[in-house]
Amino acid sequence: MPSSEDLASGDLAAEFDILMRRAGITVPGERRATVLAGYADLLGQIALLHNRYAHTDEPANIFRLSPRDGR
Amino acid sequence: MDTADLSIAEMGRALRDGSVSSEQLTKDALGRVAAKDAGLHAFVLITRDRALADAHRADSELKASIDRGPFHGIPYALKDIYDTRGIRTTCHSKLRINNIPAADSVVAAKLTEAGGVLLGKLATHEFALGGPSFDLPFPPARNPWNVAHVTGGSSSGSATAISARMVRMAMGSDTGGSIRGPAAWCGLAGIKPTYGRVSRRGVFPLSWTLDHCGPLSRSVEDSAITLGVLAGHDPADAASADVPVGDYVSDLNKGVSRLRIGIPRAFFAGSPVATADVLAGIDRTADQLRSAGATVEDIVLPDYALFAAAGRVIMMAEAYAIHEADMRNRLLDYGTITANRFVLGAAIMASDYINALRARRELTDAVNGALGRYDALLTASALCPAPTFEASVDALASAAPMQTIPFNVTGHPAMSVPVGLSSDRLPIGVQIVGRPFDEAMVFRVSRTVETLSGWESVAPPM
Repeated sequence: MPSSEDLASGDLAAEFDILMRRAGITVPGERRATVLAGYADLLGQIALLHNRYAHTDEPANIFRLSPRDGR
Repeated sequence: MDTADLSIAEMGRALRDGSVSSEQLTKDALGRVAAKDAGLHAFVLITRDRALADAHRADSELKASIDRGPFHGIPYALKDIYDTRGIRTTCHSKLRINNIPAADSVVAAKLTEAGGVLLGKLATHEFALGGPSFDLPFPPARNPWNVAHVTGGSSSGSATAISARMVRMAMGSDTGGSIRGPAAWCGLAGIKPTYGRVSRRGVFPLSWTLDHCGPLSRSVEDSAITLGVLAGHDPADAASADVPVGDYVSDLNKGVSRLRIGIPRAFFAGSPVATADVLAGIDRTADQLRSAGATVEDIVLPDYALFAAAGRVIMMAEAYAIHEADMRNRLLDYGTITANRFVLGAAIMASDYINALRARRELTDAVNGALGRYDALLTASALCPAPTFEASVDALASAAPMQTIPFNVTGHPAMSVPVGLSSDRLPIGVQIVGRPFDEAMVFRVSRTVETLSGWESVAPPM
């Protein structure tokens, strides 16, 4: 999770480039600033979800094995 | 007879007393589409021959005393993410421009079985997310109240077609507010039913665990009638709920006396995006509900920002999983706005998605807790009226004006209902939220709001 200092520096762009390279996606240069702004906004929202839950707090869609109709 | 303003119930009575035929309703509707749509762009495909054939069948059956119920002979249209057998279904995208489904979606099949008349397929934001955009195969739908303004999305064509009086009901889909947002900004009723209430099968997914199918319509009653046709268990849809379907119409006019309604005021109060018109609309609605006998109180829910964060992360992660290969190989075939939003899914880590699902459990418990004490919730649908195309922002951004995504995260039924016009003469709506599978209560409260607000006397745009 990048810090606010990361967001203010070129680290954010470098991190984003690595993620796009790993995904095999080439973002055209003229779209880069818009997508980076969206990435920074998304990271701010993701930060709200971290360090909030204990190991006992399970996800909403926890796996359940429920045989049905003999399948 | 001018059929443009007949409700679904009124059309049904006229069909049965012989004062109008489905063929007449259909030709009138097609005429309105022909006259208006060139400047509004609601439709991406008009199925004229199919519509006239549907209408002929409806009339013939009624003459033979075969009555398929309240939707028999009623014209409607479908957002272009609903599969229609033999009829092009594009998702408003170059990527699926030649897609001809081999089978109907469950919703399309149910509306056909109910005797409905399909007028055509409607514009959407690309893949129910990317828009409004001018670099797609079809232009974006425009807001009939002011064509310089957006409709909201993604069920954009659905809202335009109804608001412009082309059709009384059109199907939308709602993953973060795509029914309720356009309904609010175009002066319509629009319900996102409980998650699992309406089958999603045959509808192109945006986010499997957030997607809901539902109607937009001119009135609350129109939506109640339509949901009665559509609701029900589909064993072939993994999310479909096997819960009995109630009668959504019989309690519509029972009022709100002795009901308890909670307002999660912190959701919208103090937001820099909220306009005075919207805030006044909520307060006016609360006062009207009190005067009608309800207890209306402020309540506290978790921070709105947490709902929005969980919703965006879940949606982006699931959407990216759907589009991963095309993002890599055909990025430039998507519209720019769509691509810019979908690529962000590649940046979401597994722990981000799982933490969003943990938040989902916390938030759902919190809303269920509130609805254990209250019959319904009242909140904003959107914090401002429809912006211009130039001022439109990403509906998922942290500063977005929509207030709809919390109930996609939690799955509760939620409806937007219009309550008046802003100082710029653009519609304003409020949102009514109910207990799981209690759509009947959502309709009942919404119908009361619709009546007390005086919205029914507001003339739609001509």
